[in-house]
Amino acid sequence: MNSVFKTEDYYVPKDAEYNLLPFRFIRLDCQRYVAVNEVGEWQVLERKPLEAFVRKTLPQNSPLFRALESKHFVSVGTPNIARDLLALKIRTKRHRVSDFTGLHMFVVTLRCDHSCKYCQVSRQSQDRKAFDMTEEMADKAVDFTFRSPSPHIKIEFQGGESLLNFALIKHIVLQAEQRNETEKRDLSFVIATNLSVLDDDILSFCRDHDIYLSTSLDGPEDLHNANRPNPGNNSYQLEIDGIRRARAALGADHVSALMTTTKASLPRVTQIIDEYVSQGFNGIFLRSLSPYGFAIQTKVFNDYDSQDWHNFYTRGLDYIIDLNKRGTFFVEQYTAIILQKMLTPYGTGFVNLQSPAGIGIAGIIYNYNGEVYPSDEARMKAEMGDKVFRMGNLLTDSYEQIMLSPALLDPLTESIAESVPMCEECAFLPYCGSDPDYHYATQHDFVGHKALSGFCKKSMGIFRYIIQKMEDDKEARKILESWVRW
Amino acid sequence: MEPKTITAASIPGVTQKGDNYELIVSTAVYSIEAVKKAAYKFADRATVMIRPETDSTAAIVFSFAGDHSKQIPDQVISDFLTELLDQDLREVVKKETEPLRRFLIAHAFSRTTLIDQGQPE
Repeated sequence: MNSVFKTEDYYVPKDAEYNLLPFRFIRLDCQRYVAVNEVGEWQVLERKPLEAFVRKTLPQNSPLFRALESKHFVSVGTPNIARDLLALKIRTKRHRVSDFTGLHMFVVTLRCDHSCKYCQVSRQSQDRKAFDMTEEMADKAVDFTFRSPSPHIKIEFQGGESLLNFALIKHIVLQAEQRNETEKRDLSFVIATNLSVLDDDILSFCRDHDIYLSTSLDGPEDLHNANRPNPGNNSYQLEIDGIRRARAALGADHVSALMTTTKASLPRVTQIIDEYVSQGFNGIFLRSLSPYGFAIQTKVFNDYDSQDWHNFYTRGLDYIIDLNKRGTFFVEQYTAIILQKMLTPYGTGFVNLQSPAGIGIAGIIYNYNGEVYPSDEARMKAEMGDKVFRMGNLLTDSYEQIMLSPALLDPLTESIAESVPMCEECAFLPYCGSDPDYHYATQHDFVGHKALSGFCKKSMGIFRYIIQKMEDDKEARKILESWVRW
Repeated sequence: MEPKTITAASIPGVTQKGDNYELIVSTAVYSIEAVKKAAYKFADRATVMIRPETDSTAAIVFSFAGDHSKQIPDQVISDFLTELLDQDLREVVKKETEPLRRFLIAHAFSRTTLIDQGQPE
């Protein structure tokens, strides 16, 4: 007796042609390609099935076709459903663009007690108060901040060593909080500091106003002290003491640290990670040197190239994944940002990986003298004499004049990755960004030739490595997935 | 300066002319746009010049002087040919999906405040 049930193949339309949805592809390694659609969903496949898929000869009942269909690389039958769903995902992914500027950085002083060779900030000595922001300037910056329509306003205090002008930080926090009684934004504060002048009054104020502290820890004592000398003091010890006191007063979740990779750091990535683990951090942001400020003047930016950085990063990521396999939850935070783009429908607020670029429209910086720049990097460039990114001055220019300045709009419009040679066809575009200030710093062009771009080489190397890890190591994939915040 | 690594071009269609290598491609197979995109991408490995040869062919000339002197010509040209195939396939995807891509972006932002509310002229 014949069964009334048919095999799965019976129900597959035999001659229905499928329609490709927009996607890009790139070589992953010598064997495989990775295809990525408009919202960052990806599929690894070999050249032959890729060609078959594009030429419309891939069997529709194959596992690969089904995977591609489920990830919105193709529509079969009623195309409007796939199209509408994809449009919804694009809108979700890019909703931050319409939020506009959320990060507002206040340079409250250029004074600093450290003399770091790689410093991306152009510091001044501690006693030159001419380099402090005034209250008048700060009030104008607070006004400017609340002109942004963003529902989330984060005010970040920077320097120099920002705590050397703590009186002004207090003034700005109180002004912003008062303003927010009517504005009702999601308002938060971060102080970027080396913690060397931290005292009980500062901690008490931070606790009362829910202020986060972001500090710098470059690794073990000898490396930290070599990278971040504080004349006459043990910079590392001040840092560790400060972290301990800040955690006790504010809670561990209110204290984070950043590291910068110098040439001396390159062979020591596992020791740097171990230092973070032993200091009780549950993550690290492996960060390369940037071509700005003193890092250019002192030539330390050229101490290593993108391949050196790639080796450092991959050894670090492998070590961190092993730590997790052995039971220690620990995150590489730059990878986590990229994973959020790869594995979720959401974008991230990370300024350097945005298209349109995050300059000005994701973050903005108010210099101590009232000058406004679209990024910290642009401000550093100005301190070295090149004011190409100067948008205006809080004392003399209106919000409209500053935000519509060619110093912002030109780099923004010229560098949109979707219309830039090589980027527009790059499979990694949904994960990447345009970073016009990097390309201006290295190639004197907001767009830059991507074949010659260190930013491009570094980013593509990282994207490839993360996808390879997830494809080739199931346990690593689970760990990487656990780093994503939903 | 280290000596330049030069090997005899072993790829069919490639001839060595002095320090340069010349690859002839059929423009019936690869569009000039695909050739240009591949050439742009290889700017870090060779200086690439494109020259019309006949009505149906183009010559692609690779120079490995200066900054590119440490490159291995055979490897670069072999990778370039793979890139040409990729560019050709990308053109197929782009041709089919470009209108939809534009539509998707417009559709995605159609309910936001970012669109021009003015009437068409």
